[in-house]
Amino acid sequence: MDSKNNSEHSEREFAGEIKQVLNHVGNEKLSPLVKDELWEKIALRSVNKPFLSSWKLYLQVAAILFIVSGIGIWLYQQNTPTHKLLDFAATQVGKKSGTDQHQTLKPNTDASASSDHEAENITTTNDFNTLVVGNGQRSVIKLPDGTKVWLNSDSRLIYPVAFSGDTREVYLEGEAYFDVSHDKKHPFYVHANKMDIKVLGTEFYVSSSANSDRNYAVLVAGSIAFSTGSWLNKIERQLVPGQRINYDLKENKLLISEVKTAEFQSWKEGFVDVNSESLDLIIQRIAKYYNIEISTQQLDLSNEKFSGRLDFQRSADDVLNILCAGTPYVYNGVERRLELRKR
Amino acid sequence: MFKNTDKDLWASFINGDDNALKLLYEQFVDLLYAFGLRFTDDTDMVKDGIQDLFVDLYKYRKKLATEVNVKSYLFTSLKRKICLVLKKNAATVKHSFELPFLLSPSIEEQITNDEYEAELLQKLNTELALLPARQKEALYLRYNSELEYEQISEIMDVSLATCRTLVYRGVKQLKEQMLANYAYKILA
Repeated sequence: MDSKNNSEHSEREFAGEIKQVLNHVGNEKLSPLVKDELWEKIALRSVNKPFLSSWKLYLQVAAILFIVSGIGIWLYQQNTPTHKLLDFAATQVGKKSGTDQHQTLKPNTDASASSDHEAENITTTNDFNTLVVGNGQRSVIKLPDGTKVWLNSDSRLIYPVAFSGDTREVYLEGEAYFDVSHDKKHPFYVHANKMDIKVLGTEFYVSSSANSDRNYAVLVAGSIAFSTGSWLNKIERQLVPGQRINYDLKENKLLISEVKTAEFQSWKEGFVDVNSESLDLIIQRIAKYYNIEISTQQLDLSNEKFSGRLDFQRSADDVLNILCAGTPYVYNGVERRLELRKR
Repeated sequence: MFKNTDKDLWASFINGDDNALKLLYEQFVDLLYAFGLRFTDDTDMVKDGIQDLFVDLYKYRKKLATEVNVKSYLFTSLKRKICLVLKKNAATVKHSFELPFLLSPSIEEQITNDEYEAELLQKLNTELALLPARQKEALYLRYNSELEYEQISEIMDVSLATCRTLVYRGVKQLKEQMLANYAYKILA
């Protein structure tokens, strides 16, 4: 009986038994009570997570506090002079100046504020004055605090009718040379496209343009703090005289380099001294000076050399006409290009 | 049929049904508990592992893949968790660590009333316990957990071929041992 059974088993080679045994080993089960307890623990950490103990709530509370304080700061900033100025500037920037026709203006180098032509270009809106300098023109203005500002062509300066509060703040679009009157108690700020310059009493040059790489400041005398961005993104640099700080809008980088400030000073004064400089370089200077484009139509001007003082108190047209007088070239002011004189 | 249910549960859980987590738990907790105890006799460690496993499912719900074999996914995750703890514990005492596969040589419940059959199964069980750990694991997953080779290879983190070989060798060795026992018995 036994042996028969055994031989049967050997024939089947235990395959069924192996499966049977394996099917019955390692089948431990949790008791219903333990199973429920374990689930409770899981539920508390998942589906039934109590709100108060969860980090999510802290995060939410933190977020709410952050927003509330953010609103508070925003409301506060809304009422600061800076914000009012920038707000106003935002409505003005990019507007075409009303006086687009090409006037020949005599810049006011003696810096007494209200000469006639300036008054024409100053508009007063909501406590702010806006001085617009058209293309190919220059202007100089004296602010209520005594600060002098020389504006290059195609520039705009927005400043309050009267400085009030702890700071003096202006907004610049374009290029200008500042001679800030000294007043330690009322720091002077120049705001420009993404740039802020804090000043005590000093002379410096600022160029700001939304769509080019000409965002920089040059310090001639005194000290300025150049900054861009706000809050955590704020980058600030102190400049010493003779330094130029360049702001790369695309890379969001500040680069400080040494420059000769004479050029910027003479720009303010309204002249540039050249010493045996070729005509094409001088034309470049003029173009840069008046912030205009002058086409030279691939003329080879390198052989025409000049020495002397370029009087930039005149309009660009005048300067170029005088310059061309002794050359085979003539300046076409309408097309803004240099042409070969017709014989 | 069963697989579909698992898959449906899994899908509805991923789609945001909190209730599905409980249903998944109820469906798999015993299987997972038993499987976990193959690697350690520390029941608390296994329970902690299961707890973490389900909490993780909830936490990473949005990142879970929908097209998975739920059972092997859960097995793999639990094994990984337990292995991690075991390795950590082992590292504090010794350097090398080999994952065991524990099959106690006793059948918890009476499979058969046949006295001879019972004796045979008992012997088989004893022999089973003596197999190499990985062979035991493969056999367990194949015949107890009733998983396909593909899923077994996933859980064991070996190739499909290796997986088949492990099962084949395990069965072969058991047969040989049993035949040897049988021959010994006849000779005796």
